[in-house]
Amino acid sequence: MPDPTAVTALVRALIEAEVPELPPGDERALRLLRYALRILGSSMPSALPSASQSAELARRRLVHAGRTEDALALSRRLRALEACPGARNLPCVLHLLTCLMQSPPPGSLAAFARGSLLERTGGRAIESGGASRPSRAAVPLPSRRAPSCSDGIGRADASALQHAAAAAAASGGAAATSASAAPARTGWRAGAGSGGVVGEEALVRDLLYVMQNIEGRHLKWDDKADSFLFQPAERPRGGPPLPQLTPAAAAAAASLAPGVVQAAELSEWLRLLAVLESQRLQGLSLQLPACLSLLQLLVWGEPPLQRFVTLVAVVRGCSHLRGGAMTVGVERLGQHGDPAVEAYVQRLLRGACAPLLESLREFFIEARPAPLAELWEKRYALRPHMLPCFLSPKAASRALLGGKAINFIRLACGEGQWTFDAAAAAARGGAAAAAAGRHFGAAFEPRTVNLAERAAGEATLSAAIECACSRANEKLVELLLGRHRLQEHLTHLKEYLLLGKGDFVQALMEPLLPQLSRPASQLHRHHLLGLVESAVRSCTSPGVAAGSGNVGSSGGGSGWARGGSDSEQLLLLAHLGVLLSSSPGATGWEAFSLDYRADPPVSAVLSAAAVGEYRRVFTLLWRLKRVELSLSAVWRRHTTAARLVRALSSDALLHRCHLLRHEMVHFVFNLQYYLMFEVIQCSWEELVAALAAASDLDGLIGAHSAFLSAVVQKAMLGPENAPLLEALDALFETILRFAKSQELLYIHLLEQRAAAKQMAAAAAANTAAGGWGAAGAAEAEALLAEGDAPPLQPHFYEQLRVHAAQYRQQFAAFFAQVTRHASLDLTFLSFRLDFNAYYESLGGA
Amino acid sequence: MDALYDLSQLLETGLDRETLAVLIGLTEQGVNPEALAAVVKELRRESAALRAAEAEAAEAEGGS
Repeated sequence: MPDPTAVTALVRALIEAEVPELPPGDERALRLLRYALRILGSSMPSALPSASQSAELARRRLVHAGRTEDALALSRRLRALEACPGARNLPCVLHLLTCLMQSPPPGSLAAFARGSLLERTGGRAIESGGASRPSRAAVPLPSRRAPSCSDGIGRADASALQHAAAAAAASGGAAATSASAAPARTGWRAGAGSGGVVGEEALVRDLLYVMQNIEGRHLKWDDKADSFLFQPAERPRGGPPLPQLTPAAAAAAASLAPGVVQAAELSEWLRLLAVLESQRLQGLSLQLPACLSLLQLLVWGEPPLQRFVTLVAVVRGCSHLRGGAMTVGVERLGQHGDPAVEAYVQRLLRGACAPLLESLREFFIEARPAPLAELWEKRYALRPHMLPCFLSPKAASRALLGGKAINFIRLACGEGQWTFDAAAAAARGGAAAAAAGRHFGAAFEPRTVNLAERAAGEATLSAAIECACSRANEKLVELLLGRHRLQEHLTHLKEYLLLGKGDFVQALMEPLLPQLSRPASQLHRHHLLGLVESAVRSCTSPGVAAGSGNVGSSGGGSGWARGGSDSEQLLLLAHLGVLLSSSPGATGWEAFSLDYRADPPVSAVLSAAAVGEYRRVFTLLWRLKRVELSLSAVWRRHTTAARLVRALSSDALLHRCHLLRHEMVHFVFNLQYYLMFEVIQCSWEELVAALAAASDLDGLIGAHSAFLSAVVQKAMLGPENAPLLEALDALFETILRFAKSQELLYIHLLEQRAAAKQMAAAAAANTAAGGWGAAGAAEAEALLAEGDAPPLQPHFYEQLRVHAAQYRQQFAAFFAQVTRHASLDLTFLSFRLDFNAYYESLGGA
Repeated sequence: MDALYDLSQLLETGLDRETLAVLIGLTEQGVNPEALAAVVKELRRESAALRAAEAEAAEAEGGS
């Protein structure tokens, strides 16, 4: 416990020693004494550093001052001291000495003192407006020391700060540092002297905390004002700096919230804060002139404050956006008048764009769940509003295409690990992208950039995208055409589904004919499938024989067999199937159709819709074939009958039948020719050319669908040709009925003939047995003898007439429609149908 | 004692022997060394101020 009298005596001695100018009994000396005692009596916050700490500090500063040998000497002395017996206060003494260390010698304190004098009399100087007179030097001291005059001190502090600022501006660096030191000193002094007033130093500490978004002792977060407020509720001292720093604190708080986390910015800010904090601590512990003050804090904090304000604005504006849209938002906010702000925002933008450049796909392209079969169409789509600002829509769609291609290759084509030329292309593409990014970095420099540079940067980026995209597409097309044999599939389709292969059709039709006349419910898929398969096998060259495999069944009424190896036939059989549509009451003819099933990579081109179109065309062609076959069956019957009934060739009725049949045949053949060659074959040529020229999967799909739509259109299956199709159907019906009636006719003839023969045989037998011939023997003999055609029943004539009339009428209707049709091909058809203007004359007549 | 004085010389504290002795006496009394250092600095400043004032007064007298 300090002994007061001893302390007083010692302090007096100290004063005498230090301030020799004062005569000992002076009043000022007394005042100084009291003041010194007060200082000594106040409690200082910091703890006593140990001897080693002080020594370390001293040593460091010596080294810093360049006096290394003195540092070594210091260590030596210290060791000697520690060994010395009377050193029980060593830590205290050392601390004291370190504090006193490097105090400038009293002579050079003049400038310092002047500054401090000016500062001290600042309160009065503002009122008196003059330079301080030395006699006043000690006078302000008491008034300032009075603890009750907190306001005065506050005012003095504020004005001190202002004056310090003025002094700093006026007298340059040394004065500034001294002036800034002095307010800290006074602040400390005031804080040390009067407990109820918050000193500047405490404020500074609190501010530093606040800038890190931590509540200090005196600055608390106020939700209403959305900033840090000074509490206790005294008038905020140091008015100017404080309000400006509170928004900074708010900004810091906001930016630390989730949102755009610009880590670089934040680390910079924290680094600054750390520097300031260390400065403050340093100043605090060592009472150096360059310790932290509010003013310094203000000056240091000003630029980051501006940046943070911008950052907060950007964050608040873009917080709901993601990815590419965010960059658009940031860019829009960057169009600010202030170039500094703009530069800052551009920097932010660059930072934001950097991750984008690597992963272009994820942001403005959305992935939707879609089954594997529809991978190409549905899986990825462009989200235009998320497009980053430097990417034009065209480049974006190219990027989308490239991405889809790569994905398709990976997933659907089964080449799981394929990366297009991994290192080289990626490096090239990546380098290009990086170069583009740098271009953009340059392009984002404020103001002086012209649009050309930016366009150049964009061009580089799109070139990179383009390059990547084309490589991916090349590979994809190659895969499709090569490994998955798209073209072969299409050829198969053309030959089998579109009845391009005549012998197959022939082979198929014969066994199917009796089957298909039965009602559809009685038909079995597997049976028909077997027939189809055998037809296929019989018409193609015998390839590698393989088992028929399992009959896979699937919903929807189609069944198909699976082949094993690579031969063409097996490929075909793997995909060919039979579809029985389940409409009730229909005969097999309507229900039956061939089906083609394609696997995922190829199914992107041969989608289910495409196969449906194929089926429609197949139906039409199939009916046509049926009609043709029935007509030729009639002819065959005729020839066989003519051999038996020799007079048939001269019969008038039959002649007319022939004529009618011939007309029908002419029509049917021409129609068939038209369909097969003009429609299908021409479009096929175009398709092959387009396939060879296609650069990506979209091209392939487009070519194929163009082919299909052309076929459908020209085959009168389009929706606008419905009446034409109906007329065609009617014609087919008529022909079929005619064919049937012809069959009946011939059957009847043959029956007649057979009956007559029988009778004749019976009569001959009778005659041979010695009896008279049978009753009708005379007729029969007449029949046999003449070898003539028996008189036909009249209803045959009737039928024929009806058929003929019907046919002519319907044909006229059909023909009229065809001639009037807009399409050129159908006009050609009509020309061929009526090559000798027969129908025209009929129609005109 | 001498060692301490040498130390203070090394650290350029600007203290002479007597002042140092007084200070050490004060620390032995249990005074806070930081406060003490502050006091010393204050005193130094005061002294400097006084000296400056005297010098100004002398100049003023010399000038007039």
